[in-house]
Amino acid sequence: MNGIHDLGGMDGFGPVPYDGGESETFHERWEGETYATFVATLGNRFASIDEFRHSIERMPPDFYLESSYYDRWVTALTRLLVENDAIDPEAFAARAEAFEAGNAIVPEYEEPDMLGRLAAGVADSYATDADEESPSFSVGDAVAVRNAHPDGHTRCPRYARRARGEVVAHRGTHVLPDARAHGRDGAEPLYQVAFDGAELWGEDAEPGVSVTLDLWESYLKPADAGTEGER
Amino acid sequence: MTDADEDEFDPDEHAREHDPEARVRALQSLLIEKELLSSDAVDDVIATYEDEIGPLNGARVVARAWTDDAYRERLLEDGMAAASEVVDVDGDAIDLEVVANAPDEHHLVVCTLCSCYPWALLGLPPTWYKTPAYRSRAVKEPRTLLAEEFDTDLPSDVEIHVHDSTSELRYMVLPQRPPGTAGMDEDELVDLVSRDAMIGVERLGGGER
Repeated sequence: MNGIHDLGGMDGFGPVPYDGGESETFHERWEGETYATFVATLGNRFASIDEFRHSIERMPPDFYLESSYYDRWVTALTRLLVENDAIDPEAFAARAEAFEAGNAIVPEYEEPDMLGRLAAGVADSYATDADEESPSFSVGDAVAVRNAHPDGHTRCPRYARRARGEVVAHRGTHVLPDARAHGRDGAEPLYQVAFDGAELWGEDAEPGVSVTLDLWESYLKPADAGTEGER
Repeated sequence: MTDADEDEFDPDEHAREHDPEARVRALQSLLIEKELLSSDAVDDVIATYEDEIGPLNGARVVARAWTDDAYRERLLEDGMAAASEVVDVDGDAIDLEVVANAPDEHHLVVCTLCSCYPWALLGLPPTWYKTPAYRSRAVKEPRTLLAEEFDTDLPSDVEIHVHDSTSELRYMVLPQRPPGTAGMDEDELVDLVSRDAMIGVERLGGGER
């Protein structure tokens, strides 16, 4: 989907809030708890990593931009857990109000084997392995990114569409995020494709810049195929 | 799922009205009550990222590559397998491609779509890495971005290769070994390797290798 998350090449977001290279930690305890809730959601196989990313992308654009990073995670996890009947939305809403009012505490429950089990589920949710498909493109091929605008999840950034680049590596066959984000099976050859800066950003592009992307086969076509008949 | 099934519950509208800390504690509580999450798992996850996984992992890998040419080759060939020789990480934790800076080449890593990052070697991504400001500009005007926001001025004859992390393959930059470090051993070199150099917003070294 052409969502607000697809930020490459946009203008107007101002300076980067660079902090001088300090090591990153969770700034507050709830951010770490959010990470643990993410581990529980993927680890219990309520959602794949692609469904999680897509759940973030489904936030209304204004809300995406005004939310902090882990706030977006909480919203995305809530959506997935409700949609998969892992939690009851009424019970959730009531509990959230209780916490806001200071009338609830997180229950204690110890289970030493839990994290290992969850970690295995998380690893599965990220797994990209698939039976090898024979690749249509080879290293050195000139390719063009299809001008496709799917409604659902995709890992093809908008700024690369219609651009011509060169295949610099074949990465093997990887699970297709566009499929897994919607509960479907699918895997395709994955390629590293390099684009010249001027191809992406026009004649005023900074000189001496290239951008590489990892793109699945269905995102690409031969560069000499032209643009007519584009689906 | 239809709206009727969920009694019109809209997670975005709910989230706009309620504090994320309260919301995540509600999620966490309900999952713990169903024994889908445990208190010790929560504490372990937090401790792992606060205390165990961090940029020191990447720094050790870089320092080894600076001192051992055969290792450097293995690292560029199969990043995580080589990393697991030096630091206590699972060689299958992530797919890693290490990209090496050179006198006339500089690499920069970004994830324009979300926040993909080589966490097994660098830990949690810094807040700025996840911001719209960094993600939007890194692919379009990396030279200006590096100069204006990170005080990293690259000579105009140094090419910049930006890696937008769109797949599960994660990128880490192998900086050049800084000049004047010929007498330093691997442990001393580790201290010179910054997280930011491994993302590519900082450039170590000049003309050597």
